[in-house]
Amino acid sequence: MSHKRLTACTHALSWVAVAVLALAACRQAPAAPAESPAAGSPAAETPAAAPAQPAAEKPIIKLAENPWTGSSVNVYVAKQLLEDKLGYTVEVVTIDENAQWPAVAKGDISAILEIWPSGETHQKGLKQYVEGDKTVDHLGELGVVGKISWYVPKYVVDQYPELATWEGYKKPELARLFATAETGEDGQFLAGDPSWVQYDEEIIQNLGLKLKVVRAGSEQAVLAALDSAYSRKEPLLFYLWTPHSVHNKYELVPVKLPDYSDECYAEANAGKKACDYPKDVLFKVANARLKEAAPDAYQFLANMKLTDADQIAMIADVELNGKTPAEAAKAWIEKHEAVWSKWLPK
Amino acid sequence: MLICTDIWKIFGPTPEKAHAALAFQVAADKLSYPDHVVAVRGVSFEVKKGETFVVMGLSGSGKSTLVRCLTRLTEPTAGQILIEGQDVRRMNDEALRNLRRHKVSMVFQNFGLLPHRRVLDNVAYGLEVCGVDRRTRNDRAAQMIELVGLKGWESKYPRQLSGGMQQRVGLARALAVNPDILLFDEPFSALDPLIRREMQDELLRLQSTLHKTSVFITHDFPEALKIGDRIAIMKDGQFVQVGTPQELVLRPRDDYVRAFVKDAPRAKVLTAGAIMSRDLRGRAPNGRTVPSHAPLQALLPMLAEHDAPLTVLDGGTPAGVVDRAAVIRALVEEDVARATGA
Amino acid sequence: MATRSFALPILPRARSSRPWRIASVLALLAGAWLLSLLVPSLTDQFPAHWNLGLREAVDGFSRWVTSNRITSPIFVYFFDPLSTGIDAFVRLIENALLGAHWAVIIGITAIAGWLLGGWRLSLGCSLGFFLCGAMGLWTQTMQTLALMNVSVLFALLIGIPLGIACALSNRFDRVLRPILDAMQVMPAFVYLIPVVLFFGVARVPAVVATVIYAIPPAVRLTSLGIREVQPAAVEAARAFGSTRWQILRKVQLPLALPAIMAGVNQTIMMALGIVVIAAMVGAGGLGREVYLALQRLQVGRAFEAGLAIVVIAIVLDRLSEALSRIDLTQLPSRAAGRAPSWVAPLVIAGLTALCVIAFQDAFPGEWQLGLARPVDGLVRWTRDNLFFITRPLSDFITLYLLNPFRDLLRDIAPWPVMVVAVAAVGYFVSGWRLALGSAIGMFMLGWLGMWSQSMDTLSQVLVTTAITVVLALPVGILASQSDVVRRVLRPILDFLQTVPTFVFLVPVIMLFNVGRVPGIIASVLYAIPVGIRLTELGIRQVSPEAVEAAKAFGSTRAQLIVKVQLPLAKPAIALSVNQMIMMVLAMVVIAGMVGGAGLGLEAVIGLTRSETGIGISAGLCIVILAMILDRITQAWAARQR
Repeated sequence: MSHKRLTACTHALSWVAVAVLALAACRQAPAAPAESPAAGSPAAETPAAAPAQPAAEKPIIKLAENPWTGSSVNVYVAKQLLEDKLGYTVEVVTIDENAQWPAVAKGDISAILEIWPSGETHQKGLKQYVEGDKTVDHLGELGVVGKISWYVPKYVVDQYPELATWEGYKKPELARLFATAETGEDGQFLAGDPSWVQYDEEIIQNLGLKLKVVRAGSEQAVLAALDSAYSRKEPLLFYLWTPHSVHNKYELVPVKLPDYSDECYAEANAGKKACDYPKDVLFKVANARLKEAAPDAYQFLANMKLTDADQIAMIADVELNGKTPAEAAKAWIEKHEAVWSKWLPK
Repeated sequence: MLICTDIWKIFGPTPEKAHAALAFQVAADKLSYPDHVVAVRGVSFEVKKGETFVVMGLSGSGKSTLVRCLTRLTEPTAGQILIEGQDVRRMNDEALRNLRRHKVSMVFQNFGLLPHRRVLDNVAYGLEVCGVDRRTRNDRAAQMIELVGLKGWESKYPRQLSGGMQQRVGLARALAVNPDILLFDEPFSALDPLIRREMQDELLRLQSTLHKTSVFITHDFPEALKIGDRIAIMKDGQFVQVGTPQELVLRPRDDYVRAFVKDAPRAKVLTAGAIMSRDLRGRAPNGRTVPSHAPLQALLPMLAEHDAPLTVLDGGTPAGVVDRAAVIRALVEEDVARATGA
Repeated sequence: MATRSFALPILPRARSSRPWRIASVLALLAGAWLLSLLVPSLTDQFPAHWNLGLREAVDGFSRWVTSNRITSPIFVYFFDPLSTGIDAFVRLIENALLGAHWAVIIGITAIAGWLLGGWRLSLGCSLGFFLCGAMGLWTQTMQTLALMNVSVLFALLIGIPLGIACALSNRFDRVLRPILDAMQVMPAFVYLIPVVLFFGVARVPAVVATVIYAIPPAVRLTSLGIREVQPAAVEAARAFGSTRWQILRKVQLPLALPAIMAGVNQTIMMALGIVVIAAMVGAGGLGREVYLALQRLQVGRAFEAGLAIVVIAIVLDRLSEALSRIDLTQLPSRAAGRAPSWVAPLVIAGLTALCVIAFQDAFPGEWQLGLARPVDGLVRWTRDNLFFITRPLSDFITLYLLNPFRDLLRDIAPWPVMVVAVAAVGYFVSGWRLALGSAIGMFMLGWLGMWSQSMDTLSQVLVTTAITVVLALPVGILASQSDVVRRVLRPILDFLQTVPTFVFLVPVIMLFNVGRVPGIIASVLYAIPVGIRLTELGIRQVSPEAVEAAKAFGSTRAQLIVKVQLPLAKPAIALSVNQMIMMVLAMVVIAGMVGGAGLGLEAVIGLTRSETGIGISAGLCIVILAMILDRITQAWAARQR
């Protein structure tokens, strides 16, 4: 009895499945060429869409999108120009920045458009793939310059102007404003995502600051802690960088540390660093074989250059005006033909 | 047909060592060996063609282990098993499988039915595993189902059947491969008393036409008396006594057997031949005769009707005499052998 | 000499008296402490030069892989074609799911639900998928579903044969068991980078990582199912001369089917647990939504995607559970009361067809159900209004529970004392074998160069477990006494168990400050459902005779619980403690991401700095801690019987 019923079930299910597949097949053909920039969310670009016919002889360009808005808008600017002006099909692969190097070396990713030199992984990647086995090409600077700093919310500096510079943190009574249960007497310095170079413990020790490092373990943790502290106007000292979308939301002030100098970061000075972080000149890389496979796309990506202002404007468009990164990129492209037309290979 | 000689089964880490120590030890009081359990201890017996041989024992006596040793479902530690002259213990896997497939079938205490198969497929299982095609095996299975009185239940699942019906399926499954030997491991123990009697009668009915050589395990002495041609009483892995039901009732070897015999239905077990007086002088010339294999209960109405003794015929010729007193004595006295002096 | 060797085998049987054993263990502990006083250089910290060097070996290997990635035949002829094949397969399923009209997918689910369980299941499943669409996540849901299907399929294709092998061979089972343990406890973070090295990015590494994570339950439940087939059925099959293969195919596998289906169910659940992590290597789908939204602190958006994952989990759970309940051996009583009717499927098919005609392919945007905004509002409200409770609570846990305990384990007790102490616990709950194993495990922690991180993590795990037990037991008892409580709890527990933990990290940090506490809170939330469920189950399964007898003697309800149900449920409760510890350990990495430091942070560093050697070492330490704690609690649970 039940045996029969089960067979009936499987029969029915298999018929239904066949029907679905047939239906899917029917719908596949017309659905393919329609790109959907107007769809409601950034994820609407299904990388699964079948390659468009005209681009058959051209390879698919796969751009790495890292999970921050700056990276997204760069990628969508490049994607739309590559597709509209050079006729490529571009897939966006959302990936953690730390997992992308082997992929770009192998060709699973064609290019990465925003790499921060301060990332530990990236320093290794440069050494191993760009200088080492030369499977990855350096495509030059993105044009945007980043900078890691220690930040406090502006209301902290308003109330205690001394805390705008590092000397303020030598005073126990001021440092104690930042104390938590984890740090006891000392003030808390919230170190961020472990991906990034962090010399904070060195700096604190060598400058004699009354601070203790708490490693937040992820960028999100820092941002959540900031959001929480900010809502109550509590003091918080933390590791962050610019450009970052968070600056659109909160008024933050970088703490002035002794100026960066090359000597301070010289190899001989290991363990004795007592100055600010260097500037981060963001750069691009591409899989080495892209040069032959898609010379014009390679040239285009190498030429591509954005200014801080360009990127910050697009980030603000996304964060404040609620646009998707694709929409923000589109708006920027419409207004800046003079800029991007120079990127196109002659 | 089936000859077993000095079968041993010892459970434990080094059974061979334990067997060597126990089997060849002069002192018989050594019953145990450290860390080992002796389930079967030097058992020998022979079952003749068509005979039903019952092994009766309480739980833990080793009877279920013994029956499993016969087809090596449990590997015996020592001893020889001959089935139709073939040495079972020397068979390779293939020969052993063939023995189990074609020669020897088994009926289990908890039925051992496959719950995911219908009655028909359960009965056909034995044929299925030896590669009989579906049609043939289903036909044969249907016949067997009819034989055990389950016609119409072929496509039910075991759980939809009562215990007695399930065991009928077990029986049909065992018969389906047309084996020479049937092994029954307490087949009716899990059934209610009434159903049990019904199944016993069913088995006797089948046996009266099929005459399969059978080894029947039970813990129920009345069942053993009812079914067995010969009965072995088993205790602590050994046979205490082997004999026909009547022999056991008349001459229990020791107090252990006597304890079972005590409540035996003597009127059914004992026969006229067993209690008759060979003195033919008291013979009544009235033509009141009984055959020597008649149970006492058949004599009672005749003796109640008239006081005169009865003549016991053995193969047509008068062999002895039974009178009312002798019958009453046989029914009430425990040890008939002592009473009659036979 | 001769007497000695003779005496040896008798020793374990001649049990020394308890005080004597306690005294000898105390002496060992004192000895270890004394040693650390005498040779502080050796015992202050675990000697660094004893390092096993695993880190360097792993890093060397990954360097080899990266430099031979393109040329080595292993990649060219094995991993690359394999990756290509898997990728094509996932894309095929994905295209089928995305190409089909949304109403068709919902319709199929509805029919499947009806066939397997009836109209209630049918309605629930279709509403679930509808909700995913209404949250604007239809595409992502289908992508995740495709990935899930393929991963689960592979996990079963590998897991079920392995499970059969485990059931048939004790030796194979012994070898595989610790590997399965490791696969289940090893944080996915740790093997994400190696998987990317071998399989590239996007769908394939996501499938591989998911398969690794999801295989163990398939193996375990298959093996268990086969081993628990009634011996009578197997014996009967043997008695009729079946070959081993015939027994397996005709008896054991069909009878183990319900257990195997339970394994399928568990495999699906495990696979859904890794969706967000898989998104870090480009898997896309719902995981990507959670991942992107969290980076932007859009808790509401992350919650929606998380809810969609919960919905998929619950739909698949109920469907596969219903499938496993179709027990071939049982009278289909439900079906008996209802003539097999094709009316309902036809109605559903009709409705589906109507929807296909009436609506466009994409899920209608105007049915949008905006959950993000209210959730964001709620998060803000809790942030602003609950802080006055959560901050002091957080400080209390840090100052009075975590700090003293961590200092004891990590700083005050020298490492030899800790090794002896853990071994002693093993000795008392089980015997010298467990003691030896635990000691070796503890030693390995130092050997891998992670002693202080391990002790930090150990202290957090024990505190978290204690908090979880204290909360779970009363709720479990309550749920066992009242069906109302149980019904109310069920969806909440389902939600907590399947929602990606990442989703509530942000609110937890907002409320509890960065540090060890938010990790602990998140772990408690993750582990508590298992604790509540197993406690409840344990009490409900107490034999009704015992309860009846207690009632017959006039026990009050409280007496019944305290004197009968709790003592009899002790083994089950002990087992639930074991499970809670395992769940807490599974959260160590998450804790590392919110300031928990210890092994979790090391594992995160392994991923974020491409330090595979550090990651693997930290992962192994988590596995070792898990095994020590698991074996000890299991032995302790067995003693409760």
